[in-house]
Amino acid sequence: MDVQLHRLDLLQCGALQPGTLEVLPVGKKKQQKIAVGDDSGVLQVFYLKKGEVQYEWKSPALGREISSVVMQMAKDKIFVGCGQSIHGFTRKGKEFVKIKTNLTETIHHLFVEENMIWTGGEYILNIYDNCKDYGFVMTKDRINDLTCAPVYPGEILSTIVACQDKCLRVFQGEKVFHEFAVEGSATALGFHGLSPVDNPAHHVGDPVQMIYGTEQGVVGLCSLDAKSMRRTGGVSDRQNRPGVGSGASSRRPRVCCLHTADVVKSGALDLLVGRDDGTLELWNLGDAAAFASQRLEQAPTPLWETCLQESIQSLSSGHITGGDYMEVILATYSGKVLAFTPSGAARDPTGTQMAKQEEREEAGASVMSRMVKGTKSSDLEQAEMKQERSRRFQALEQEVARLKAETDKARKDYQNLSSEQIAMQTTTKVSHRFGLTSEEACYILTLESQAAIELIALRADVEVDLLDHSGTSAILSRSRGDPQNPLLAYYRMQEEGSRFQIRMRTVEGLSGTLSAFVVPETQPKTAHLITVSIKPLALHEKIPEVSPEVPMNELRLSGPFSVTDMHSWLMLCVNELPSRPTDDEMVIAYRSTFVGTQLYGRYSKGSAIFRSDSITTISVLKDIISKEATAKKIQVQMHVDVNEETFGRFLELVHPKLNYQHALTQQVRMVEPLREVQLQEGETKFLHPELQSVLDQAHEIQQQFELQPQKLAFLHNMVISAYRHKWRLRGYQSVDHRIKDLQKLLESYNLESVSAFFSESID
Amino acid sequence: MIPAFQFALGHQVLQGLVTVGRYDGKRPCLSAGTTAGKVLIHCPHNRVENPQNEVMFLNINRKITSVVTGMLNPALQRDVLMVGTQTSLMVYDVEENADLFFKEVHDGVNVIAFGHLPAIEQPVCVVGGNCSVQAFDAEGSELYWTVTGDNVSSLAFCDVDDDGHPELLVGTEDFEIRALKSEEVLKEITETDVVIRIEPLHKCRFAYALMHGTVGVYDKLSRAWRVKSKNRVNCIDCFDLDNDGVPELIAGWENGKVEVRNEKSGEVMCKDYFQAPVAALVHADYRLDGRETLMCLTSEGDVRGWLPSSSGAEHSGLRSGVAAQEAKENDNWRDLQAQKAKLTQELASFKEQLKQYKSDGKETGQGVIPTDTKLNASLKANKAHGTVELHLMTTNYSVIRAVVIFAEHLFDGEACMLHPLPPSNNVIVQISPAKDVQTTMSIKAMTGVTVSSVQYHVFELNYVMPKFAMYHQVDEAPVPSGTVNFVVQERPNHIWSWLQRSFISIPEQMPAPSGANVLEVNFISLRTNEPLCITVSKEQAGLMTIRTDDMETAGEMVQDLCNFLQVTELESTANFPAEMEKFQQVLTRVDEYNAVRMKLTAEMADSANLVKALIVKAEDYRMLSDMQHLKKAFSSLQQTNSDLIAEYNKRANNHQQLLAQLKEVNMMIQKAAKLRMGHAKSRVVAACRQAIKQNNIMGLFQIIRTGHDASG
Repeated sequence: MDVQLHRLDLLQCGALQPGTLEVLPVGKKKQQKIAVGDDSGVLQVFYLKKGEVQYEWKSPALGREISSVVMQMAKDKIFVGCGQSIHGFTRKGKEFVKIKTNLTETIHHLFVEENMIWTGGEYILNIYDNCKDYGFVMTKDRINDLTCAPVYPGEILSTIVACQDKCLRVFQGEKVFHEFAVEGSATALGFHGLSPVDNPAHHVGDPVQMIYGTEQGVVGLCSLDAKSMRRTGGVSDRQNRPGVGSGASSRRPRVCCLHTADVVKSGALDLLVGRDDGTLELWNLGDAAAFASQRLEQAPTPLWETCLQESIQSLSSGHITGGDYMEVILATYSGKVLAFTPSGAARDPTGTQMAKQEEREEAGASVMSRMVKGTKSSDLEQAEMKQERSRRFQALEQEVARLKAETDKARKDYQNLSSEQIAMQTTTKVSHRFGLTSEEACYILTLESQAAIELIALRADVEVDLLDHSGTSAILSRSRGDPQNPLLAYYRMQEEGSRFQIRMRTVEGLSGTLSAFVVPETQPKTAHLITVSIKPLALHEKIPEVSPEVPMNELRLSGPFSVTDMHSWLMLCVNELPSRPTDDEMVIAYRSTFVGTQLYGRYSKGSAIFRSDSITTISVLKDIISKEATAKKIQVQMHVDVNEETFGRFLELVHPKLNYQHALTQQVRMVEPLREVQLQEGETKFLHPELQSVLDQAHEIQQQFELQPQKLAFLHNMVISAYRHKWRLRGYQSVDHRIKDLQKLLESYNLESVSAFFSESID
Repeated sequence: MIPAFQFALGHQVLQGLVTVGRYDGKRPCLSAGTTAGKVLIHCPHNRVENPQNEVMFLNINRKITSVVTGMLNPALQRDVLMVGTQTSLMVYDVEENADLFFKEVHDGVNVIAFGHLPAIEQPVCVVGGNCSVQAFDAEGSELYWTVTGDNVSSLAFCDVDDDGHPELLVGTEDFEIRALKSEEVLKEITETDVVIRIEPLHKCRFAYALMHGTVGVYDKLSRAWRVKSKNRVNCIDCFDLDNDGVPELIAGWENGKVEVRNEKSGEVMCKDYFQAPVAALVHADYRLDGRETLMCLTSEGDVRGWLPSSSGAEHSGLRSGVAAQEAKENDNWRDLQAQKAKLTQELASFKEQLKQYKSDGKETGQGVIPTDTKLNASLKANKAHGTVELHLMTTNYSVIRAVVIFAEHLFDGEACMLHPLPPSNNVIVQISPAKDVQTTMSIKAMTGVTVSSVQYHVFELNYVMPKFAMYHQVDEAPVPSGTVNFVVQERPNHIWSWLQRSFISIPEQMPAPSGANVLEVNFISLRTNEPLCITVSKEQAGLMTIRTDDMETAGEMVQDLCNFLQVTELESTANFPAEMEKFQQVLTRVDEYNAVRMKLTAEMADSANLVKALIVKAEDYRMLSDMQHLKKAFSSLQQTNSDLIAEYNKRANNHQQLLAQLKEVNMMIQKAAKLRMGHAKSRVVAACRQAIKQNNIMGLFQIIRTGHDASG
């Protein structure tokens, strides 16, 4: 099915936070209104009339940036989270309630029902009853999204929280009922269909159909009731796009928001997914009945997609333009409020056609006549439209000219005050996210700015490999580094864009910081410094638990340190730890994304045990902890058990990668000569089958190799450093004389000989 | 972009070695250089006569460097194939299966262009080699010869001065594009990397591509636009794909992407992807239906063709008629909306600044950094490091955290980044330009109040690096032996302002004349520490002397001075004993290598004969089943073979040396020419070529010295 959605630019407000747009329910008119609150702290409600935006009302500035906007559906009230306070507005714009909470965190998530209010901050979930504290929960990891639904019979609704640690948690009051592990860090939640709270057909005890999205781009569907929580289907994160070669990464970016609506009028709800890179997708979930029956009959099919180049912060739907169409409404990072409508009239961005349509509707024109519109519209109407169109054009041109003049004047005024136009304070918001992708074993630094980015200058005090990736036309220049700044590089943007991703890989065992100076294209020109820390065990990701039968090296520590001490030391080594210890005895489990070795840790006041099948990991932990402990003047006793068996396992884990890269490197060298032989001889039947296969797959081989030219060296270094650490932990400071032999062995790679070398004694 | 047709040649295609020729005067054939020294000819229209074989091969047996077709001999009324190799040029009549001529070209053939040169009636085949450009007619006689600054990497014809006659554009490995009108250089443009391709667009515009992935357009020798990509560009072509009467620039990339760009703005209009690197883009009426098609070949031999504007309007963004009008208006509307959004944001930003300034900034003057801060920049020479130092300093305590300098030619990449530790209010950037080129540095300095600031003001500053910044002025310097003398009828203070423009640290006031000279300045090169003196004599009016041992620098200075003073004709006398001595050696070596080459060729012929004899012998023994002798024969065959390989290596080595020396000779002629301007310049080139042909070494030396040959 060919779906066409047309883009309508409704409004440009200040930078927006996630979840700050709501569509008001249907009122007297069929047409719906939109409420949006931006960083300037103003909540505005507007609607479309004749294709032009009309404001219903605007709130006074609430003092801080608005961090969430929700509707209390049944009562038509709008609630706004703003810093630590909650404001309630009526439909007409009257502020009827204002609650100043005693929270320390900003209210990012909000849910209101009757007299109950749920708030979600960074880690804390709070419940208020009639503006009084009712309950309080501290979650194990960051809250990424929050919503409520009647799951358990009881006086209050259950809360569903999407957490950073790859879990969906369901709370009833302060009590956890379900912990549902999902594919990655959960980033978004939604209901299939109406929210059960607003759905009169929904009874307590009926299963709640939910959708969730993850950091890795997976969208999942699950069914939730008092007894269980089940996954019923999902939208795969892998899907090739037309036009892009299979070589390009087809991984989908983080899910930002989810919504369901029947946009294409198929009778079933379609799934809308808004992603971090600005992709908006429309998926067909198939028959609605099938969905209710626990399992999806068929895989979801993509209907339509577009890319807005900046992250989508909120997503909703409603009848906005006044037609009979269900339209998609969304808000982006930089404050654009957009609508996507199936209405053909919206093809004209000036809105003239839409106004025309509205007029006809008012005049009582029948649906039929509208259907045949365009084919039979009279010349008079055409001319009218043309006139209106040009009037709108002129109006816009005049406005632009006026703005230009005003801006010039303001600039001049400011120049009189500061000749170099030095800003008092920047007015452009720049934010970043730094995360690991396990499949590529690299880090992605995502930078997003309110205005288009002009350049990004990077500097790090450790070696960082910047990986090239397709999908950007920015030009990377590296400068020769010095010992203090091993990485000096900068990206110059060629195409206008307010969002940029940098992929990088670090060497395990080094720690440092990476600074990025981001310069947006706004005047007065200011640079934003973004600093992220590179951790020595950066390539480790959190897993639920380690597999028990693996042989492990062990590091045991004891001394007068507290749980918090140990936790803070660990924070320096690995990512994804909660900001403070959540239990008296903490248990952690990590897996190296590149090799697959594991790390297990258990620590409490005065003692800690770390186990890993990678000697390098243990060695790095030991170094960092002893360094930090010494700095804090805490005496820590350390004991290391080096387990010989682990090396065999480590090498086996690396083996497939090493073997593959080794073979690949060999094959790449043969491709060109073989091709020449082929051309000279005309046929290749006399060649060894192995060589023939190289020739057949020449192209793939070369492509694979180009993707990862440094990978073999990277793997070699990893094996060598494991060898080094092995002997270091046994008290040998330097094994340099053996390293050369090891390197030779690696060049002519063979698992047995390398294993044998590892178990050989030295001296 | 929806292709009109698509097929596979089934053979590899070498990058850039593709052309279309009508070898029988009517039907077009795609001709491509492929591996192992072969030229593939794809003739789909000959199917009737020869149904089996669409593809045929020509064995060149040497590394092919260029493939071009053209009607070199107008009498034939059909295209001939011109194939360049590292040492020769072959012009081949495909239809008759005969050579028009085969010519050894000592300077090698890097690139061939076919077209008309001014003052030469018949069409010529222009060959770019090592530092030289020559043109041949259908008989193979040399009609034109000139020198260039480095190895020629691209050639094209384009009427850049709008006089109705196309000029020859030469792109060289020293990043220059030269526009030649006969022997005279109209203009030299310095680009940022090796110019791998030049294509005429239309009228006075031409497109170019650089090694590191830049494509762009020049209009009358000034740059209209350019874009850079991190991928390498393999080929460009100019073709009117949207049927609007103006050709678009089409670029094929290493990663298999083909882009169509608007030639006015450089905007991408549409693109397509291949699985393999794009090897070439050509256009011709390949289906013989009266419409030109654009064809793209990949290195794997896949071919795709597009017809103008048939390419599926909705998909490519190319529309026509009413729909186009509407789409354009809609785009305009969106543009205006975007502009409005941008302006609103900027206005809000300034209003906010003003508000804050008035509310609390007035007393303290404290913004991101103090609002009265300025950034000063200056250039100084650093003799110890042999570099030019750029000093950046703020006027107060605010610190410079990071500096990014964009400039062509100065750094390895297109820019340089600095992150001084610990940060302070002044930063010194060491720059050592490899070439003497005047460049504008665009400096962005991120300045904050303290080290821990998260917001920084960005100072944006443009600063000119003078052409001869690497020459440091000193009071006294030893007098170099090389000199060039010429007369310029200009007041000394005019020359002084040239010095101020092209060098650094030249004082405002011209010092009072002392001694025998009106004007005297001494420099030391920061690269080599060699001295350089510029003097204007008092006695002989306007006699100016540049003393240096580096002839090239002297030439550059003469050219720069003449440009500044707008002198178009200049004669000079030169004496560079050290350079001339070296040149003498070069010439001797050329003779030596030539002699060795002759000898080696003779020896190789002997060995080759021996091989033949041995094979025949071995075959005889095999028939007689005399295995013992057979083995012997084969072992001596192997011996001879390895001898041949060794000989070949020697020859190859010798050839490389010879090429290097010949390049030196050409460079010398270029240097000598650069000491003059206008007529004298082209005369030197012509006279030198003549002298070399006649092997008149003394004459050559005299031309370099005086600018005239013995007769003049």
